[in-house]
Amino acid sequence: MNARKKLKVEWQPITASKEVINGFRGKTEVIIPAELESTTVQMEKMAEYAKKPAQQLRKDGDPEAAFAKAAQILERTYTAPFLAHNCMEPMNYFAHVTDEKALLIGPHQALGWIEPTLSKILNLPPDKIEIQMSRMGGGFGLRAYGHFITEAALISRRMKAPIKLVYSREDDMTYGIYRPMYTATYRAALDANKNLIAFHVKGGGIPEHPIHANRFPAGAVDHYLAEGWAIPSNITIGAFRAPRSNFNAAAEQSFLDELAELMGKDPIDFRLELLQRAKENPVGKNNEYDADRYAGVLKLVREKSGWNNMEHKKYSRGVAAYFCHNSYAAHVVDVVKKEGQPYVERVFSAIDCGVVINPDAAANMVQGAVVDGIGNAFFGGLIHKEGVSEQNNFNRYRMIRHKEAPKKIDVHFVQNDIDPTGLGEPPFPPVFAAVANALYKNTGKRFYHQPFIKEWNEKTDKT
Amino acid sequence: MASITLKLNNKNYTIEADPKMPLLWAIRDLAGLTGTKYGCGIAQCGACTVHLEGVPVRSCSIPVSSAANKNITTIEGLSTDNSTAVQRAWILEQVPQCGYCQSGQIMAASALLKRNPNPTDKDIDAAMQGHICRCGTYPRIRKAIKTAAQLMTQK
Ligand code: FES
Ligand code: FES
Repeated sequence: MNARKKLKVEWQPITASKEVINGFRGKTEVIIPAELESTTVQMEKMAEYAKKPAQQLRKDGDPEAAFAKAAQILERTYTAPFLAHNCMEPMNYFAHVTDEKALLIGPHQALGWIEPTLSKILNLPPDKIEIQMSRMGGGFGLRAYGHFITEAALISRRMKAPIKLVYSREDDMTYGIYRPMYTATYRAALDANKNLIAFHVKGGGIPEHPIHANRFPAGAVDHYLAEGWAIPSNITIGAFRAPRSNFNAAAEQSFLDELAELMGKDPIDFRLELLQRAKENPVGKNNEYDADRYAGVLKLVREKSGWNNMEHKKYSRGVAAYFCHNSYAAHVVDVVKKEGQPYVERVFSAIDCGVVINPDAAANMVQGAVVDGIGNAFFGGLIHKEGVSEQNNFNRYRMIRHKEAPKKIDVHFVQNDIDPTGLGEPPFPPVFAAVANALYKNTGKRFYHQPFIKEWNEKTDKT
Repeated sequence: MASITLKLNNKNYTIEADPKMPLLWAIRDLAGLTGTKYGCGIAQCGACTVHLEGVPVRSCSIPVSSAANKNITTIEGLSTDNSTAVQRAWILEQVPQCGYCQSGQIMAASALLKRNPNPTDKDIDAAMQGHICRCGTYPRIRKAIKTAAQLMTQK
C-alpha cells in the first residue's frame, strides 16, 4: 500500500468515442463524451433534458387527452446521485498468467461473464483459463465486473510472475462502476371526483434512464404513459443492488404516497385499490407483476406493523412496497427525531420471495437491505468535480453506522409453495420511499432529492 | 528495513520490515495471520482492529515499530475453539453476512465487554460507531453484544 501511495499517476482526458456494448438489453452503441464532468453541470443538464421529448416506452389509452381534461394534476420531480458500492473488501484478485495458461483466484459474483473478456484480452482459449472463486467481502453488483481481474491478469503477464492485486480503498472508490445518477418526473391526473384517470412517468439519467415501464402502477390506470431519456457520460456505471429499481421505487412510491394524500386516501388502501383494478380488469399487456402477491405483502405489513394502531403514534410512519427480481417487498418504517436528526428506530418488513429455505439467513439478508436502504437514502452519493470524485475514502463518503441503524427490524415472509425468487435485491428499493414518506410525517415536508440528510438540513434549518 | 519482534497471540514472530509499515500489513503479509482485514487504511472503518496490550487499535494506522515487543491479540488469538462469550453470541445470533467486517466488530465488542460487562445501548453505540458494516448487520451485532453480556454472567 505504501508503494501504491508513491505511484504518481498522471491522467489524461480521453477523446470522445463510440463503443458497442453487448449487455442485458442486446447490443447498444454507447457514446462516450470527452468532457470532465461535474455534478453541478450534470444537475443542470438533467433539468434541461427532462423538458425535451423522450423515448416512449409504454402507452395505454390516451394520456394526453386525459391530462388535458383533468380537474387536478399532481406533478413531482425526484433525483438521486451516483452511488459507490463500497464493498468492505476492496476489489482484489490473484493472477498467474503465462504464455500457455492462466490461473486466477479470488472473489467474484459472475465469472461466466468475465471469461470471454479474459480469453480475448489474454489471447488464450477458455480451456486454458482456470478461475477459482473465493468468498466475497461484499459484492452488491460491483463484483460482477471484471476490471480488477483483467488488471491482475495483465500485471502478472507483464511481471512474468504470480501476483496478487489489492485495490486501495481510494482506488476502489474512485475507479468504480457506479449506480447511475437518476431523475424522474411523475404526473397524475384526477377528475372532479378525485379519481385517478391518468399516470405519466418520464425518467432520465446519466447515462441511462431508470424506467421499468411495465411495472405497477402500469396495468392499474386507464391512461398511462412511460418515457425515458439518457445523457451520455464517461463515468463508468453498472449494476448496484436492484439496478434502476433502487431509484424507481424511491420516486414512484413517494409519489403514490403524496397522491394518496391528495385523494384523501390511506396510502396502503390506495395501493390495494389500484392492485384490485389491475387484477380484475388489467390495462394493457405485459404487466410484469402479480397483483395478488403485491397486495399480499402490503396486507401482511399492515397487519404486522399495526399500521393504524394508535399505540404507535409516537412514531412518524412511512410505508412503501415494490416488485423486482421476481419478488415482492413492503416496509413500514418508524421515524423519531434524535439529537435533531431523523432516526429510523424500527422497521416492519413483509416479503414474498416464494419458498424460504433458510429463514434466519433470509431475515438477515432483508435486515441488511433495510439498513443499506436507510444508509443510502440518508447519506449516499458521489459528487464529481472536473472529472474527479470528491469522495475517495470513508472520511468523505458517509456510510451508515451503528447508531443510525434501527434497533429492531421485524421480517415476515409470506408462506406459499412458489419456487424461490430473488431476495438480495427486492427488499432494498422500497426502503428509500418508506423513509421519505416517514420524514414527511415527521416534518410536514416532502423529500424529493437524495441524499435526504442534505434535504433535511436545508428544510429543518429554516423551521 | 529492521528486524522486529511481534508478540502475536502469545507467540513471537521475528519479521524484517520497514519500521513505518502499518502493523496491519505486518500481521497479514509477514506473520501470515489473515483474519485481520483492510478496509480503508485511514482509521475510518474498524476492519483492521486488533488489541494492543488489551486495548482495541486500528492496525492500519500504527507503524509496526511501535507495536514491537508488545502483546497483540488478533481475531485468531481470541480462542482456539470459538469459545469466548462474544464468539458464542455471534454464532447464536448468526450475525455475519459477508463476514469481512466481523473480525473488527468482534475485537471491538470483546474489548467493550471486558471493560464494561453490562453495556447500555449508548455504550454500544459509542464503542461500535467506528466500525462500518457494509452488509448492515448492525442490529444483530447489538443483539449479540447483549447476548454475550448475558453469557458472561452464566459462567
Ligand atoms: S482498515 Fe483500519 S480502520 Fe479501516
Ligand atoms: S458482514 Fe459484510 S461488511 Fe459486515
